[in-house]
Amino acid sequence: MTRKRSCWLAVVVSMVMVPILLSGCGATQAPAATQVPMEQATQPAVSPTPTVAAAGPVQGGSITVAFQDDPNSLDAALGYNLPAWQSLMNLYRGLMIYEGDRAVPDMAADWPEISPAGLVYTFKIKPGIKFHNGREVEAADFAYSLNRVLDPELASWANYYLISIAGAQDVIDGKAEEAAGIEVPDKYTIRFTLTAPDMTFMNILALPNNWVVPKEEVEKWGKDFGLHPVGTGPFMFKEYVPGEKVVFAKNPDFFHAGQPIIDETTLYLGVDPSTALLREEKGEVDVLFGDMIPTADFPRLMSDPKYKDWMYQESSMYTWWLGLNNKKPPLDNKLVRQALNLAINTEKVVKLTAGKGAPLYGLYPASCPGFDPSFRPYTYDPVAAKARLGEAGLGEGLQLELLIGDGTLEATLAQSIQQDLAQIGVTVDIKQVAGTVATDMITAGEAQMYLNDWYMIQPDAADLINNLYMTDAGSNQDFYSNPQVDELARQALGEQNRDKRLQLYRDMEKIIMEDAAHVPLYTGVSFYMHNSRIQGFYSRSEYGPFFERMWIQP
Amino acid sequence: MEVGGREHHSLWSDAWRRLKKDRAALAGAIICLTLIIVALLAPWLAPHEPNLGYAEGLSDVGGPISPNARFLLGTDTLGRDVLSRLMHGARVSLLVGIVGNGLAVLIALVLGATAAFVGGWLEAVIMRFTDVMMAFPTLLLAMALSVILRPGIDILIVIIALVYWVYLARIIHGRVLSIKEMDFVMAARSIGDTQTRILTRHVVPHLVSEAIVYATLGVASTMLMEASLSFLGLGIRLPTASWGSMIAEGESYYRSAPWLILAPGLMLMLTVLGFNLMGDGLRDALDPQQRR
Amino acid sequence: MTRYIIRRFLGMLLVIFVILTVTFILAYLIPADPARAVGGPKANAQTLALIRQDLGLDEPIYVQYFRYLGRVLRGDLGTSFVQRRGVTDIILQRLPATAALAFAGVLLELLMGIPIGIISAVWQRSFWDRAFMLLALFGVAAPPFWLGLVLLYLFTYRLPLFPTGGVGGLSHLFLPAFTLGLAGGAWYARMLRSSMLDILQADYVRTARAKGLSEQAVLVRHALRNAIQPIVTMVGMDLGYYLGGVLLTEVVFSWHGIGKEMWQAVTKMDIPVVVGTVTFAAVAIVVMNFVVDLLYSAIDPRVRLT
Repeated sequence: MTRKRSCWLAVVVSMVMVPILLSGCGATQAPAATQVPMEQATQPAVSPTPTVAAAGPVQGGSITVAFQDDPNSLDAALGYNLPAWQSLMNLYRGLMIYEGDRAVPDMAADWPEISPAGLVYTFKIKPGIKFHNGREVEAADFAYSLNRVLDPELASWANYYLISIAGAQDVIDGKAEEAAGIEVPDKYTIRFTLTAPDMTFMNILALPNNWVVPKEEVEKWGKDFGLHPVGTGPFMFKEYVPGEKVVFAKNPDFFHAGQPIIDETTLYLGVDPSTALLREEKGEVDVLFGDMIPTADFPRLMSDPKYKDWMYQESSMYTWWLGLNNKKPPLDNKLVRQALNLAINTEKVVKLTAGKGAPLYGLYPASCPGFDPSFRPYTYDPVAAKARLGEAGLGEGLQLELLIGDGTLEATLAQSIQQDLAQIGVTVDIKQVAGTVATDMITAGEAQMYLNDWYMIQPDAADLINNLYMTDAGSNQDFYSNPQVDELARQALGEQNRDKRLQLYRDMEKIIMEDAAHVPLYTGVSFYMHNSRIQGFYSRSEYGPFFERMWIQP
Repeated sequence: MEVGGREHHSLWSDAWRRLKKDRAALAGAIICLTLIIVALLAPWLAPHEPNLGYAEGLSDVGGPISPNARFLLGTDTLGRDVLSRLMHGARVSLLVGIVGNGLAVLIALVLGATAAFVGGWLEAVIMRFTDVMMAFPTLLLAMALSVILRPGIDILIVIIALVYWVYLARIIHGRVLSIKEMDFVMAARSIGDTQTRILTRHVVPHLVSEAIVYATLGVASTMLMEASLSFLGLGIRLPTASWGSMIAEGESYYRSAPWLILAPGLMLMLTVLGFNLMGDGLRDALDPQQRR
Repeated sequence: MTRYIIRRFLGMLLVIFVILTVTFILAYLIPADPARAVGGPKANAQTLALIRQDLGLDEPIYVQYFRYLGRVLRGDLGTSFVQRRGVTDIILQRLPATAALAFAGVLLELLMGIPIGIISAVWQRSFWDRAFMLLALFGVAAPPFWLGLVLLYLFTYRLPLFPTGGVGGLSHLFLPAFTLGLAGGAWYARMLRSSMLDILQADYVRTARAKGLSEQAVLVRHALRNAIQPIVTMVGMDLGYYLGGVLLTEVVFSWHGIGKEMWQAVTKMDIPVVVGTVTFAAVAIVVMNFVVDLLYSAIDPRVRLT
């Protein structure tokens, strides 16, 4: 035991010494900015083009971010993983962008003209906006970009978001070169015709994958366009060293005056979370996205007063749940699914996320329009759960299989669920496979229970309902089907009165939870850790941080 | 064989005498025996349920708590008792190690000895095959197979055996070859003993002693292989504890909860040490030509 | 001599060919849909089918096999699904890091192992001998990944002497190389000690001593020279093994070499990278063995007869 005592003594000593030593190291940060006395600009208000205070923050400098993986692609149509998404935000812009709780015009000169039936949208483009290669953007470029997303040769994952446009499905199927519903009447006007009224259409245009790319650059580089991306975003592509970094340089002609304020932003790649955190604390890296902060260190960071200004929190649009295969017995029985909802302790699950999650009782995260804070269909009640199982005719000895991928949090949560269900006499066998294999098995309907998640890319309940809960929807991996929900969903998509529309989504939520399609677990709380010298940190769950609005305080 | 009243001096009794004098080997044997006993009796010895997460086992922020009176070696990320998991993990790790290695030794014996004894093209084929297999780093091969098969404990044992036997087979092949050349075998042949007689009287006893040594020494290697695979997430399935998977779960907590990796790692090291010592001792005892 | 070289060389080629085939089969058996790795979690079934077509995964296995062989012979190890670039490029990019670790590791192994082995042999049964051999036992017994973690804990956290990982200069290289050095050095120390002891008790050494040779000369001229041989073999094998990427150490220390690349590819089911790196590792070992055999046969003519 002596060894252990001296171990702990050494730990205490070094815990005192380490912060002293490290704080000494962190102080010497010489930013490359000019020495201009600055005012604290206020946080941008909710308006389409946020302005910066007149006296101006300090120009110049660079911001660095650390990621674990490479961006899967820098091509607007193909990017989907975290570093790719950040890169798309840097490189591209489009007709609309999210601001507040809806999509607002960005490169569009104003809100579109919408026909009374809601089928035709006419947009006017702001003239004089230039691509990074200097050419002016025209309406034809938007038509080209969207048709490109639909191109089956490109196989963009985002193609199905555009199918409300007339003729879009034909392009995906290879039957047409261009969608009939996209027309360019003149140089700065573009008109969309939809197959049915779709209130989410403007949201779709705020999706980075649908943002504008120049035809000549795509044709010049072909499949390698992702290695030489050109767009209209606040940053231009400078350099990509696979496995190491992506560097973006300021776009001096960005169509929002005064942005970006910094000169350069760099994404470091291939950094694992522990290393990233250490470099962040040392000041070698400026920004870490939540996943890059190891769960093990999270409590320490949150309680450390030094990092009070470093942590930026946003309620995210991620939701996690325990998926249930509604087609496989015994989970095809509603009573069984309800019993599972009653048996699983959501608060305990949230505790295990170590602050990165908030309890989710329904379908919608808190920031989603339609969210009802008072909606709690199931409370943790193992006795009632057992009774419900009994009603279904099942008792002790029920065996279920839980499929998970290879994340450590997944494993932790799975084991917690396993324990909860053991309390009501259900044995859970946890099967762990590689992440991509898990996705395939779930999609093919081979899994019984599984941990699943969805990140909403539009502030609209339709993103969840249409993709997850409509019969045969593309990501309806619970294989849930209720014609009543389908009908309400169709109605809601075309409903132009916002209040009526939100009520429809609330009704759908009630029905789906009554059917107990799955067991909601938690909604994400997104954290960003940024060096305190970065001012004006602003981020949105659908996009991530907006680096063009940040500046560096010397 | 008794020859006119002299003492019994067979290979085995000689070995036993030597072994008793070897203190290192004795220490190793004690370690191994203790571990095996603990592993067998784990369900009764363990103070808590190994797979149950206790609410008191988690700190206020949901993290593991350090060793205290109730949880002698602290708790892990789910609030489970580390000591109990360690004991139950011993069962898994030892089972995979011992059985896996045993299987490997069996395969190696059969193939290696056959190759050496029969010779000819069979020998060439088998030896070429082992050449190729040996080129693959064992861990990678095991990883590849684990990814393909996604095994439970049973298949994991088979995989480890399949990957490990190659190394042993070569050694056994070499030893049988050298035994064939040894004087006493030539002498037996010159007397006119049949192949079978040579086999059973002379070769097999030596082989058996070799096998015993490798069966002991190899456990260390197979245990380490299982630990490595579990550490990489490819071995034992949740929530069963194995020392390797415990280290994996605790890896990112090495700063805030170092006991999570120290405890299972020390156990692994101790076990490997024990089997190594015992194996070395057996080798010294059974092979009189080695001088240490 | 030349006939021996040719024989061994052809044998090596045969082994490499079998390695390529085995890795191809393994890769084919891995149950993963690469289309998913390319398209991401939100791609729908139709898009996945399009991607699969694009990647040429619909073709029969023997077509894929011969394509694979043809590509490899041209030096093209395939294209990573996840990184969208050539596997050969990836390996070449990561090779310097792995090579640095390999050589540094072997260097430290020798620096630590050989002196200890010699001291232990010469002063057999002394306090130092016992202490060193005990230490070596621990070095051999410790699981390599665990040793790395312990060193991380001790020397980057409790005593923040080193950075916690990532590729970099000497300060980043030291801990992972030291981990390899400890484990390998322990082996070398024990081996060297036992072979030296054997030699020091051999007849010809007794003769040399009887002739009046000083102990030091005996040591250097006979014991060391002969005991070194198995060490040389092991160094060759170690180097070959390490050049393929020491997976566990690279993962623990985030030393982004070929081993870490291989590990990431396994988790992401990036099959071309897995196959490519495993092939590379196996070939590295085979080639190193060949080189070592050649050297050996040059030194010791008896070997050529096997």
